[in-house]
Amino acid sequence: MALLEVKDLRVEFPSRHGVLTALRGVSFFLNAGERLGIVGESGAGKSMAAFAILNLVSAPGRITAGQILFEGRDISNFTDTQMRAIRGNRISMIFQDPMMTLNPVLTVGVQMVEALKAHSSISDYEAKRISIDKLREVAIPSPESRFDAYPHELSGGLRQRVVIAIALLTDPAVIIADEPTTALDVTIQAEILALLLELCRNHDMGLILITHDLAVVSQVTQRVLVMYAGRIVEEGVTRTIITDPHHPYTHGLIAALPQQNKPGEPLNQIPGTMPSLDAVPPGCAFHPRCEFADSRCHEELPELRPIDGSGVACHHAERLRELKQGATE
Amino acid sequence: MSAIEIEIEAPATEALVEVNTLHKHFPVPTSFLSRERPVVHALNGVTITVERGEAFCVVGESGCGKTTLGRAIIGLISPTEGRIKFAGERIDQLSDEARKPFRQRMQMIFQNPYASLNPRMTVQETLEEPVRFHRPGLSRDDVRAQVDQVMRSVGNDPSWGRRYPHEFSGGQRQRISIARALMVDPEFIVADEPISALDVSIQAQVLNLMMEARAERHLTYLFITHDLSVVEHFATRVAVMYLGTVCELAPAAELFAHPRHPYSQLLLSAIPKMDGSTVTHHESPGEVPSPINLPSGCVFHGRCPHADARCKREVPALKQFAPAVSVACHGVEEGRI
Amino acid sequence: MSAISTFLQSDLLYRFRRDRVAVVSFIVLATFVLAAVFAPLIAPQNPYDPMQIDIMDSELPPVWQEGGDPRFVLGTDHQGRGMLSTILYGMGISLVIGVFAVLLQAFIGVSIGLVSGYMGGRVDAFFMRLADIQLSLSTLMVAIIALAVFQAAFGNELYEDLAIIMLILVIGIAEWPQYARTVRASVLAEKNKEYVDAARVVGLPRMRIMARHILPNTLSPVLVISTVQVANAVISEASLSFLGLGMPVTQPSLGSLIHSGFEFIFSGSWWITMLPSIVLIILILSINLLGDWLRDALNPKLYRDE
Repeated sequence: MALLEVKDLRVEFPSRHGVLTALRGVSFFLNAGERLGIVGESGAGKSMAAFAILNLVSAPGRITAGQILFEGRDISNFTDTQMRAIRGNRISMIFQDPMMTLNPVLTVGVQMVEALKAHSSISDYEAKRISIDKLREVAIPSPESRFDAYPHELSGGLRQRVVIAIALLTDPAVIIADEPTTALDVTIQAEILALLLELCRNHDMGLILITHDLAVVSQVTQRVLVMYAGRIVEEGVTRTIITDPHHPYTHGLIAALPQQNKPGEPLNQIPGTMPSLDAVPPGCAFHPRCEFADSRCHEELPELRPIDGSGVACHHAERLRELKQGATE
Repeated sequence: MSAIEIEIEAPATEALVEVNTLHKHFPVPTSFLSRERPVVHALNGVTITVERGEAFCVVGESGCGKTTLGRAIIGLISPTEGRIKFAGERIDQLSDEARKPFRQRMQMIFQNPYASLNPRMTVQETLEEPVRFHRPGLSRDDVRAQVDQVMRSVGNDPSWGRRYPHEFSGGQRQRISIARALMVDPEFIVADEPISALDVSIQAQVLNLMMEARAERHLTYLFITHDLSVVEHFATRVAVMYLGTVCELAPAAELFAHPRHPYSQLLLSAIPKMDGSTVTHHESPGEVPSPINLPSGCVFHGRCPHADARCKREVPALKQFAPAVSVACHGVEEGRI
Repeated sequence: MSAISTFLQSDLLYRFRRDRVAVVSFIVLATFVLAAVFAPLIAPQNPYDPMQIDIMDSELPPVWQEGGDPRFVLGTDHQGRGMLSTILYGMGISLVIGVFAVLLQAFIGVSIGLVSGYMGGRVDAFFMRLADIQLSLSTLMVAIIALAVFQAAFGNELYEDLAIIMLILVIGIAEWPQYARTVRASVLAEKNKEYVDAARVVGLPRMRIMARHILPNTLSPVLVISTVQVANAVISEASLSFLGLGMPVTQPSLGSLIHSGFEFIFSGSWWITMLPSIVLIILILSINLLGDWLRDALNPKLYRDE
């Protein structure tokens, strides 16, 4: 049985323009100790999926359909009290900007002890010991003195390590990381990703890594979901998706990367932009930008179907495959 | 659309922008009573030359001074020491009035598409302003025609003119900013992280646009970025910066094939690759030291696996090693690395 | 035409229509303002025309009380003037003083704030210290001193003619730091934005950047505090009048009506002081509520752009 299973999740926002649907029937699962990536551009709904799991969708948005099964129980309609036993305890989350996550007027130590005591009744001494252990585990030098430091006294990389340490305090089953390295320099990014990978392996912890960076996902995750306009358009083993994408959007995204193009040549670009929530076209949301689109794509919403081991939501995935095979011959 | 071939190694032509031992220090605001006067050493003796027609990239992580360098060259901040020349004439000490003719020849594209357009001006007004200012003799119709022409050339719909910036997406706003920079028909453009804030698929569009503009208008770019994959694709020459110093200066292909400076090597090894390899774990976290208290000697010695006593004492000078390749490293100079 | 249609479809109007408090406050305020503007037409009598007043009509209670006279719906004051009429005229004067004083404050404050914020350095330090000094002196105290001196120096007759201008000047000049500080804070925030850099890179001169680029983007907060400042100006004037230093008896504002009617509260003619008080309270309340709504309505919009 999967540790976390999301079934047909729908999240909607009432607004003056009508009902905006941020997630339109998203389903995926995560096994214990597995590393899953969710990839997409801004507005695709990847962060929304993570927030929805932890019931953090801000009003007036709400989950209108679907189930979220964690350890067998449906947590989608848990009360706030019930969710609090899960958030930060069994499922932890880390965000993009550590300076926003950490309270600037409290020391690191105070914030860590506070997080621990919220979920268990342990002594201050014990809490401090565990906190310093965790700081050491995330490779923060001189953890005892850093325990009493304020967030602004630490560099960006160290702050993000502190945030990860806080997420680890209760030995959660799953960590959700929403763009954890986007705000960091590339050398620090490499270290943080390596750290996350090692921690997940050592603690047999599940990871959901949300990012727009395909390269990051290819280095850290075992499986990946590609999202577009609130739906999953492709999913499968990361290695396969990156080297042999089947959905025209995934294919276009990878082809647009500078490293996939010859220097000096114009980049392969996907024309147009992702539709905003109030202007999602009928049928397949990608059809206005897709070279394979036909009338069926205008009308019929494609469901995920298996192609070569990946799940692809496209009516014409076979055509793309033929094209690629033709190109390599 | 036919592929536009851009020469990767431009033949040596005139130097358009020359920066000579540029220093820039910012005083840190302290309380009135404190005795210390800490200073942020943003630029420490930077010397580069940008030749006409090239796409010169300045790359580095946060705090390396690349943005300060761009702003100093374009004239938004004045250097503490050093000289900046444009087409042979010195520009760093000019008054606003004397700078005016240069303003028409050098323009800038900024990082944040959400803050680089005046929210209270329509797109038309924003685009007309530079033209009206630099060519006051033009009639209203001529100005409008010019705006139309530039808008179309960057792939914008001229009907956008009546609308306000908040009605556009990040990518569209960036295209409008590019149009604004092109309005006065400049020779040189400083682009400060122009695509970092955009989505991946839009990045490709905007980058292509910039490359096209360069070919059509014979532009010279100073492209500031932290994204090395963009540099590999777009640059003719690259300067790698760390804590206000240039570590390595080389043609793009050469830098990516044979990075010589230890920092260049670290930077290149840190780029996440798409070949499915997993990330390697570094032993101790490397931290960028503060630009307020610069390390002695070579600014990188604290993180450098090859640092020796000389590196801690002496600041390495940028020396030429191979044709067009310069490195500021004692180890490389001594043949140790 | 397009500006009007843009406004009609705007988010701001949409949120306004949905907020009942804002709509009610606006209706009340609009009614009061219109009533004050059209006072000469709708007031049953002109209370400043001695020909229309009969001392025999003095201290008549409102019409719903025993002894009331249907000619004077809200009763009369000690001189025989109808309360409804005096209140209508008085409200007009209160509003005129409030609005013009605020216009003056805004003009001085915005100019100083703009220059101070953009120039920075010594200019900024100078103006802000000036503002600090001004703020440490309470408006009321300064006004009392200024008006008392003026009254003593120029005598009552000249004072009566110039009272309204004096009040506008005093309240206007006393409160400019509020605007200056607000605008300066906005200018400091906008100054570092990239569109200002872009304007500098184009080569535009400083004055032009200040006026054409920065100023329009600092006006939202100015609008928000203006509503509160109008309310404050009306209260300041009312306080001064209550103390006897404001509008003269012949041209009463709401405040001086409250003042002159105060002594009659003990003799049972409560309406002479209470009715103008109630009107004043409702007026200030509706301005404040509208201002509160405006502040909240304009605020999230600033975030949405980012």
